[in-house]
Amino acid sequence: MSIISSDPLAFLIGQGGLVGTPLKEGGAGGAENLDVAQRGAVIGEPIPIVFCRRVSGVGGVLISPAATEARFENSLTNEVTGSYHLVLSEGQIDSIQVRDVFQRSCRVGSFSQTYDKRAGTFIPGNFIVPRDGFTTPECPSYCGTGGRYTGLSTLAYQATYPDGVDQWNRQVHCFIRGGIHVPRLLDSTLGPSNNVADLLLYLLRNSSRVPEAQIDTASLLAGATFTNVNGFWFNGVVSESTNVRDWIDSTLQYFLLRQARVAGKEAVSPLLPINNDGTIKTTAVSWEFTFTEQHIIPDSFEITYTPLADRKPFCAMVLWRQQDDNGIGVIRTAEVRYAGTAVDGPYEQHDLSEFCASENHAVKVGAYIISKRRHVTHRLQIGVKPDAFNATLAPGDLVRVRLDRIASTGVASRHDYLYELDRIGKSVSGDVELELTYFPIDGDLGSVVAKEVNAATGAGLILPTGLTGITCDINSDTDTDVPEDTSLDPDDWDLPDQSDFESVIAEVDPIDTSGLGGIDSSLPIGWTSTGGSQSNPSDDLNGQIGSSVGISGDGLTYSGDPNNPQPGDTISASGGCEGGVVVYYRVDPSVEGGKVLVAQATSTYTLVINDIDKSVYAELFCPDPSSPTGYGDPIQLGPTPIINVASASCPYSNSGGQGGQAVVYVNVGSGPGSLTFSWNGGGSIPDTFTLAGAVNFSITTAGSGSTTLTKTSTDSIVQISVSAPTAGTIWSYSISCIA
Amino acid sequence: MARAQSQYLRIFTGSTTYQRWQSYYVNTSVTWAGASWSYQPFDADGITAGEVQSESSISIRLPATTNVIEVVLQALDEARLAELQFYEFDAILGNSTPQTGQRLIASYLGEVVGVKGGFTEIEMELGSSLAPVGAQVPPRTYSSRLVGAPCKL
Repeated sequence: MSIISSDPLAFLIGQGGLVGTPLKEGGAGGAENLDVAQRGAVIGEPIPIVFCRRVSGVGGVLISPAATEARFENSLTNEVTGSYHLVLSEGQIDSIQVRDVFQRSCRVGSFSQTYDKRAGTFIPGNFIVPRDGFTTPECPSYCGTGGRYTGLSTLAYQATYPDGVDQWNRQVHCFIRGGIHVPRLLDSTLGPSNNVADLLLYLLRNSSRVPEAQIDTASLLAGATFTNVNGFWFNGVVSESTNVRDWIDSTLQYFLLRQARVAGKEAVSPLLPINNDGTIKTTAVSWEFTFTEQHIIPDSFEITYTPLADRKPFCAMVLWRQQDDNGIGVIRTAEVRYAGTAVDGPYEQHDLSEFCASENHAVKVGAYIISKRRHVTHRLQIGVKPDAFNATLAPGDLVRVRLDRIASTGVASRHDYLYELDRIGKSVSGDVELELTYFPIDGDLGSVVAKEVNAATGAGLILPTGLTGITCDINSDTDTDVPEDTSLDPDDWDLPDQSDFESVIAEVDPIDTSGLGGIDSSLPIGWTSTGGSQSNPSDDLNGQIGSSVGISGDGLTYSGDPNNPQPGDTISASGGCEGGVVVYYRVDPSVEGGKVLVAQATSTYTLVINDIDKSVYAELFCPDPSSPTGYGDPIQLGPTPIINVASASCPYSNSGGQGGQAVVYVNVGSGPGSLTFSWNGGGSIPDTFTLAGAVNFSITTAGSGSTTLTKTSTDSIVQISVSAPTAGTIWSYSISCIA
Repeated sequence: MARAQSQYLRIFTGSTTYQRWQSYYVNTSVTWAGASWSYQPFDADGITAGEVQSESSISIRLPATTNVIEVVLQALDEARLAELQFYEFDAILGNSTPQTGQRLIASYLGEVVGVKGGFTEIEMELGSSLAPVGAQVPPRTYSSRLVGAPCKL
């Protein structure tokens, strides 16, 4: 399905780097409730991608992994030990330290982490038994069966609780300081990353298998530099199933990037002018080209002003996540507004809490949103003649449009602004269509938006986490040890064979996709070679038509061998409709589409010599009162196999007595021509020599003679029959090739 | 300057090129960029560059000859890439072979994502292999092979 807009400008609201208003507001996506029941994995649920890297005290993400296996057992004193096997992330992540694993909000329990296999050694199951004097804990009974966990980071967790404390069923949380290992664009190293360009590259390669040739890695590297230099880092979990395009559209804008397609390649570009080192450019900008009246095609200038309602002051409330080294984050809001405006609203909420762990990041995004909305007053669409810019302009470039406006009053004014090039269309005819967004600059020729974003910084307040009361930690909050990987080899587990999860379908080879080339090319389209192994696909409709009038098989019956019909054999329509008419055609397989009517208004046909090396088929016309001809569309019967006979080569001679070899086929050569036939009847008893097929001749004689015969057709086969019915007769003849 | 514009179309996968066509120099093969480009009277849409929303795909119309159909269908079946390039040059300076100084003014690289047409013309659609539908993130989900029968808590 294609969605067609009547006016390309309708798309411009989504272009020009504007960050649209979210359709709905809700609680922060990055918030985690700690004291909840442990979550179980569900088949079909997306496997999360933990993408983060804690650098210089910024970043990391607290995750609440789902359990795939569990084990519950109680001691003699009814202490319950709950063990969970948890899937942390797609791919390999950094090792988790002791201080970073929680159950509820408490650093308790022990764990073992691994990659690409099952973690730990516990056997899943409910091993709770009643103990005298104690209440039996009610632990889940369906505890999982185990799997191979290929390509996943997993963790086996275990904690023991005293009798009566039912906290064995609480959610396990892990603070991840280094997420999935990906190739990092900036340092060409495989490891955890917090750069959204690295994440985009990972998703392009792994979610949609975009060929490398279609990925503009140079622009991704530039985007990675821009986000890294300006502190726009991604520290979050990708867990909600969404289309990759939607994810890109909704996420990149919060890193002040836009996804573009340049020359067909997937690319990104910063939404702000930047310096070579990736920093935001606040100095004077330069433009690539100046368009004047001499470039613009008449009547192609179209300007659209942004309604004031869209430019009213508002407060951008940006949600982000304060992520200290404790691991448990605090959701924060940053209110970004122009001084003295929108003090009590309206508010527009943008939730970055799922991935943004930096206040400056949140504030700069908020500043960009309100600055762009306030200062971009109009957009422009122009058509221009091709010129030197044809080979140089690219989306994102700045251009200047300077036009003189001369009104009828004679007062001249000038339209002279800088624009950012959103879209460039190059037609075959040479005309170039440009869609442009106003690029506001100040007196220094610097970008107004860039200056405001660059100057926007957070207040730097660190909110306390609100952690009070007696600590429930058993493990130390300074224990940076990494527990030993105790996992077993997958083959040590009693797991079903890999093939048990597959249903391999045997592929049926379709007919040659190069048209009907798979069918014997010597036959007309739609015909079947009996000597070959390929035939047309069955046509149910065709079969239904035939069967409706009592026709079965190919619709023909043969007096001789149906697989090797010979001249003299009779074929007939095996069924038919009352009042129907049958017409027989001879088809030469060497001539595409060539057919000759050989019989009509008869239900039978006797194969003749001229049918040799050809096929015969019939068409049955059933009465159809609705047709102008009185008959419906023909139903094809047959065709017969190619009529083949054993033929002798020319020149050929033969002799015999009574009976002898009565009928011989001689190949005298194809095409027009004449030949010589000589005979000897033996001198006393007359014999009859008959030639048919390519020539016609007959003589009854006891004498000898010869004659020159001209072919009556271009066929090559001559049938020679000798009738010598009387005892004691002898005969001979010879025939030449055609001359 | 007599401005002229020629189009070159290359169908390839990785380092293997299956077809090189040009549509400007009629009934002749020309050498350009170190390779021979045979004549094929194709016609392409203009090339648009910009934000993703504004550039979905482009179409190239070709004569529906046996050779073209075979090439195009193979490209579709095997997800081959096609690169379309527009060159601009001054026709007064020469019109029989590609000029050394001709300028690349636009190019598009896309996967052959669709083919349709009539009896005499076939249309090849080039687009992104980043499918608008079907490409999901995260790319994998829990399966029986990966986790067996998960626990029910």
